[in-house]
Amino acid sequence: MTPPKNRIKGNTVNFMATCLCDAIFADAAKDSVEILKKFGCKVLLPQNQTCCGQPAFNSGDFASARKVILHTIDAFAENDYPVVVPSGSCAAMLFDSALVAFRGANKEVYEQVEKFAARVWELNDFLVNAMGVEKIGGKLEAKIAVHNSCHTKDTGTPAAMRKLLESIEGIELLDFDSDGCCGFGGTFSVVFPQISAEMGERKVRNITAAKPDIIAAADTSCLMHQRGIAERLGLEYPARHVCQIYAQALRNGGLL
Amino acid sequence: MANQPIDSFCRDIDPNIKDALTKASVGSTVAREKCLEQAYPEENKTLHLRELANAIKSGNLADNLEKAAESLERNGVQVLFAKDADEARRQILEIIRAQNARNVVKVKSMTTEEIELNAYLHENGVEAVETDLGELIIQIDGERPSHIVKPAIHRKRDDIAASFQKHGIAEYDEEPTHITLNARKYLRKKYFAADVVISGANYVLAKEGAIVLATNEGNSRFSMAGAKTHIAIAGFEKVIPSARELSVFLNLLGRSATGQHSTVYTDFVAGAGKAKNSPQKMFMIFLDNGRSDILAGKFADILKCMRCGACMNKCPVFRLVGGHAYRAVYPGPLGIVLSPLLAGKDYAKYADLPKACSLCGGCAEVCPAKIPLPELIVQMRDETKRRHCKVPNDIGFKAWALIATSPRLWRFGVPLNRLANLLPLDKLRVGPLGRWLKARTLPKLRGGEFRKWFKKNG
Repeated sequence: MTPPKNRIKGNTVNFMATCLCDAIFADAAKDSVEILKKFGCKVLLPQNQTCCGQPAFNSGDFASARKVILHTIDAFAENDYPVVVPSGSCAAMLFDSALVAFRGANKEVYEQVEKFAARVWELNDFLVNAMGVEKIGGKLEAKIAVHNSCHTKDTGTPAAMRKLLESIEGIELLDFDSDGCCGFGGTFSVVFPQISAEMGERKVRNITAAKPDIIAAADTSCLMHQRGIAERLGLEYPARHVCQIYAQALRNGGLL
Repeated sequence: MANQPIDSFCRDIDPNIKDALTKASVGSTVAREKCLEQAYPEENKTLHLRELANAIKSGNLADNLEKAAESLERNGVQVLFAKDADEARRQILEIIRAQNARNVVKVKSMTTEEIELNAYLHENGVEAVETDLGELIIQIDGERPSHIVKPAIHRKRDDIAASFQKHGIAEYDEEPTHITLNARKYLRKKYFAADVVISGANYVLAKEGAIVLATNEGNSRFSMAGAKTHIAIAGFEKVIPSARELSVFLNLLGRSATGQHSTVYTDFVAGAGKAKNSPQKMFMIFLDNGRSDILAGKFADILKCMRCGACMNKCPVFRLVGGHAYRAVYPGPLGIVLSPLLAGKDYAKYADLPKACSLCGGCAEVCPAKIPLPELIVQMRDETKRRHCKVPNDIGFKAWALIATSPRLWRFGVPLNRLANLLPLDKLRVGPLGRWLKARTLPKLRGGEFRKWFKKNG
């Protein structure tokens, strides 16, 4: 997934919660907003936002995906500020896959999608590469296994996340066999339940073998799947969105 | 509705075979990485080469094909075009009959698998012996390749030894070097008796009028030494402009396929009758079999494939099931795009294949021709919907799209998900949610909480 060049920067931002945070992971969204504010952003939450369109796109229902993408563009049309997303795969959906969904569409619509794509950032990528954040600060005594989700490949997210986690006193990042997808893949997990679960089991066993105190990622979706698998296997799986870790460290240091 | 066939295959496959498949494919991926790193330690050098390969394969194929046909004919090769598998098979049989040939040896070729040549020749009284060890192993047991480079990747040495014994090739001996030696002894006789050799072509050089065969076992040279007639068959997309461009591909092929800097043998065949112990006649068949249609459509990039198998080695789905799960000649990320397209009017039979992918993007990272495989895969899923093909377990998104484009309905509906926390969902085993819950727990649903919080604290 390749982010567009010359993306829009600025410290007034729109927060796109994503459907998963809207419906399930409220804490990840709250801490994401807290972190953006802590590092100098004014955060807006356009109320008409829903979902990025990824479930339909990945399933090949481009017609439905295009409707939802256009709705999303409309939901964020009240300003031209960056759109910051606490999810690598939802961000990539809007800055990369949306262009695939609209390939061959009329020029005006395509340009609209392209223009929107240039506003979209994954949160870690935004903090480091748009806001110039070098250090989170605070303190957290924890061994952390970082899961880089597949859709953050070739984006600024993995390096940004590593840099920010390493800036926190007390955090140790663990090495483990991180090869391969965890098998979530959105609807793939229910269309291919057997293969998805086997991929998931491999992933959580590789991660838990490193004995992390916390498993961190920039995507709650992969973590939801991984924790679900681990719990069925009787393994403890303390997974957190990475912003929850930043917020915890800052709170420990009395900085938030 | 029934399960996805590939998912069921994964459930039912022998765990030992699954383990062997995973080890072999992971091993090849690791070998590829090491080899490329060693060859090109400079940052982005490999990427640059892959981009170059893609650019060369983006050239004018029709032009190159025309030039290739001219140059090959100039070198004394008879050039034929086959519009489909049936025509290619008939052309090959006619050539064999015209030579009054009885014994045919084959050099590993996926294109001949695509046209199901062996079965056709057998029906017509011609026995063609595979001379690549992996191909020989599966041929004697009537199997299909389970990997395009390592056709017997799913087989273990003890059952290979048993098979050799059963088919009278050698006494039972599972020592790998002995398996190879036994095959070698068996094949020697076949080479001497061969009248015709059938090969594929990794590349066809348009300017020079030559074909290039990259092999590891020397079987191509032995085959050529004995036979009087050489028939080569290749999809027309195998044509590249000249030997100059070939250097790009040869620097990528072996490294991507098996982690070898170069295959053990790289044969250049530019016509026949030039050496004493070599075929006196050569035929080149360019196969279409649906390729023209693919080339004209939005999936043309898939024709840039050089059949190295790196995508399947890297694919987490392939690693669990192997090639037979795909029910078609080409498996893995390559196959889930190519197989339904090659099937033509039988597209629907393979419509489930593009679903067998979590869109992890691993294949795109390793493809030496830099084919955007994940993008092609989602587009294939769209294509399947356009063709109204039904796929097991598929989920409809029309209702979802309606809710996701109605913000009021969304804001009203999402908070209601908390009611589901009161249901004993954990025992649910039907529908998409049931399939999720079979192997996973569900987190607590907390719809609406974040937006409420934001109103106060945002």
